[in-house]
Amino acid sequence: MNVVICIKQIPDTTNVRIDRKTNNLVREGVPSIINADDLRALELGAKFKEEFGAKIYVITMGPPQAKEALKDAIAFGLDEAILISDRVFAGSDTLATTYVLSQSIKKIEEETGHVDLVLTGKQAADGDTGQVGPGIATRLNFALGAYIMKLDEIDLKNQVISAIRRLDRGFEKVKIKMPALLTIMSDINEPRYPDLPNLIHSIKYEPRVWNYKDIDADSKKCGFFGSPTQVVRANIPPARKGGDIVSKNDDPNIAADKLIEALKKFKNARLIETLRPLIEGDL
Amino acid sequence: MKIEFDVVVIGAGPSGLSAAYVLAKKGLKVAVIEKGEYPGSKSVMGGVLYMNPLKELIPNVVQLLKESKAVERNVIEQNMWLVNENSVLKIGHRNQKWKEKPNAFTVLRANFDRWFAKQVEAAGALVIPKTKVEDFIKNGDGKIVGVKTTRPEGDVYCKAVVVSEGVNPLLTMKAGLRKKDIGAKDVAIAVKEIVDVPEAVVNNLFKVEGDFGATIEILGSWSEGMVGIGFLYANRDSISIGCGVLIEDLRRKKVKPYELLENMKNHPAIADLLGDYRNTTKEYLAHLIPEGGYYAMPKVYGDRILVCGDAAMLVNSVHREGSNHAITSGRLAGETLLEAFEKGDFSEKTLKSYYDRLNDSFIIKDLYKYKDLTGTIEKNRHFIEIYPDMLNNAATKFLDVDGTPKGEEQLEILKMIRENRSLGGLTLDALKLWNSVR
Repeated sequence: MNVVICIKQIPDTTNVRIDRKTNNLVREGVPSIINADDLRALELGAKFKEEFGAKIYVITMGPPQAKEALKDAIAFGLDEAILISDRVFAGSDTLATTYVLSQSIKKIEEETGHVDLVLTGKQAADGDTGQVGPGIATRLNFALGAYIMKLDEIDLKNQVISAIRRLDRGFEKVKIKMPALLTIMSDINEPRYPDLPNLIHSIKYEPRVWNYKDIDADSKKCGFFGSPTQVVRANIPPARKGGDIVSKNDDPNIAADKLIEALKKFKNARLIETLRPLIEGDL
Repeated sequence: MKIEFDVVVIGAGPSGLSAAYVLAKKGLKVAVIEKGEYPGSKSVMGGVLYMNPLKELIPNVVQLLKESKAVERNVIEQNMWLVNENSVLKIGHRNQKWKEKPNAFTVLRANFDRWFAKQVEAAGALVIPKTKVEDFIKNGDGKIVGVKTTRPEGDVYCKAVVVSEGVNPLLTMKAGLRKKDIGAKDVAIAVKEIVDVPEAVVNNLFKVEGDFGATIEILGSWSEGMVGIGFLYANRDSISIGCGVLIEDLRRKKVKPYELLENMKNHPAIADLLGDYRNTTKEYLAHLIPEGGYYAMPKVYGDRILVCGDAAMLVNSVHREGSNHAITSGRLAGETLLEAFEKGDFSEKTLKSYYDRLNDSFIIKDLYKYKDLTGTIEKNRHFIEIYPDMLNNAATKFLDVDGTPKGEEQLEILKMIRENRSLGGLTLDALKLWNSVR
C-alpha cells in the first residue's frame, strides 16, 4: 500500500497579527508550524506503516523553508518527503494548488506503480477553505471521504475503507473504495511525540525538491496565472476592548460593589435570587 | 538501536554551542540536546554580545555576523544615566575605533542563537531541539555513561557530558556537583520588553546611523532602592528596554517584576526619550540571571562531566557580562575534553584542568575580583539610594542659574553632600567600593 500525505506549513496562528492598515497578515517573525489537522494525517500514516507496512510519502507545496515542515513530518517515522517548490507556484489559489499537488501525486504514482490512498487535513488554519483535499480527489478521479473522524476498518483485499465522517448534524458511516482521498478531522487521533531515533533521522534527512518541470505541470495552470480567485476585500473583526478588572487585592467591600455594578450593566444577566437582597441593600 | 556520541552537550545556548563547536571542529561526534523549540527560543539576555570571546572561537566571526541577520547593531557608544526623581546625569563614551573593530553588538537571542547553532551544525555537530534531558545514565560503578531524554527510546550514550543547562541547575544537582539549589540572593531577575521603533527613529534617538548602535544603562531612583540596573539598547528597528534586580529585593519590597519595568519606563528621562514608543511592545521577556558570583559557583567538573555558563554561575553582573563568560567557558570545556580524548581518560583528575583553565582566564579572575561587590552594595544601600540622587542635586546646583554666587554654590554642594553622608561615611564608602572592585 502506497500512501501520499499532503501537508501545509502555516504561520502559527496563535502568533499572527493583522496589519490594520493593509488588512494583510503580518507573517514576519511568526514561527511556522504544520497545520494541526495535517498532523493527524501524519499520525494516521505512521499507523498504516506500523500496521500494514505501507510506504508513506509526504509532500508539500511551498517556499524553500517549507522543508522544515517536511523534516518534522519525517520524525513520525515516514518514508519519504518531497518539497514541491517553484517560483511559478507563487500566488496559487486552491484551484492551482490542487493542480500542482495532483500532478505531484501522479508523479509518485509513476515512480511507485500505484498510489492507493491520499490523506490531507480537513482544512488549513490559515486559509480555512477545506477545498484542496476534495479538489485533488476530483482531479485524480479518486473516491473522496471528507471530514473523516474515525476509521473502522481497512480491507486491503477488497480495497475498501470503512469510516465515519462528521456531518453538520450527526455522523455518516461510509465505505470508500480505494484508491481514495480522505480529509482528516482533528478528533481522529492524537499526534505522537516522535521517538529519539526518528527525530534524529528527521534532523539529518534532506527532502527531495521537485519543480514544475519535474511534475510535468503546465506553468499557465500554476501560481498567479492559474488562479481565478480574487480577494476583493478582507474584513477584520474589531479589536476586542479590554475588560474591567475586579482585583482580589481590592478591599473586599469595594470589590463586591464593583462586581455588582458590573453585573447590573448586563441587561440579560440574571442574578441569582439569593444575591438580590445584597444588591438591593436589604441585608 | 543504541544512540551513541562522543560527547553530549545539554543546552544549545552560547556555552553549550561553543563547547560543541570546538569538539565538532576536531571531528568528534557531538550531540547538542536543547529543550526549546529551537536554539534561542527560551533564551533571554539584556542584549549586548561582546565579540572578543567569539573571535577566539571563530576567527572571522565579525565578518560572518555582518553578512548574516543574526545581530542587530554595532555598539559604538555606551552611556550611563544616573537618575533621581526628576533629573538625570548622563555619562557617555563614544569610540570611533569600534566602528572599524566592533567591540559588541546588540542582539536578539532568538536570531543569534539560531545562527550560532547553524555554525555548530556546519562544523559537524548534531543539534537536537524539542528534547529535554531528564537525568543521567550511570553504569554499575555509578559513572555517567549517557543521558536520558523525555523522548521514547530517548537514551543517549556518550563518553562525556557538558552541562550547559542555564540558570536552573537541575542536572548539575543530579550530578552531585551542587548540593543545594540556588538561593534567592544568588539570582537576579531581568525583565525586558522589545518595543517596536522604526529604524530612522532609533537612529535619531541614539544619535547613530546605519549599522551603528548605542546602549544606555540606568542607575538610581527607578529601582526604589533595590540593587539593580536598567537598560535601553538600540536594535535595528526596535529597542530592548529592561531592568534587572535581585529576587531577594523584590521579595522584600513585594514589587512585581513588570511593575518595576513600568516604573522605569515612566521615569521622566525615559518617557522624554521614548515618548509613545514605550508602549509599542512586541515582546515581553523575563529570565533569571545567576549573580551569586564566586561564592555561589558549583563544582564545575567531575568524572565525565563539565559545567559551563549560567549553570556554573559564570556571570559578572557588574559589567553585565554573562554570554561572553558562557562562550569562553564552553570553549575551555571543549578544549579540556579534546585533551581528555587524546589521553583516553575522562576522569575527574583529567577534567580538573577545565577548572584550572577557568582560573587562568579572565572569568574567574573577574568573578573573584567582584566576589564581595553585591554584598557590599546590598549592605550599603546608599550606593544606590543616595549617590545618584546626590550627584543629580549637585549638578542642579552647579548648573541652575539662581543668582547664587558660584563660590557659595560650590560650598552648598559640599554641604549638601555632607548632610546626606558624613565625611567619615563618604570615605568609608569609597574604601568599601574600592575594596570590592579592586
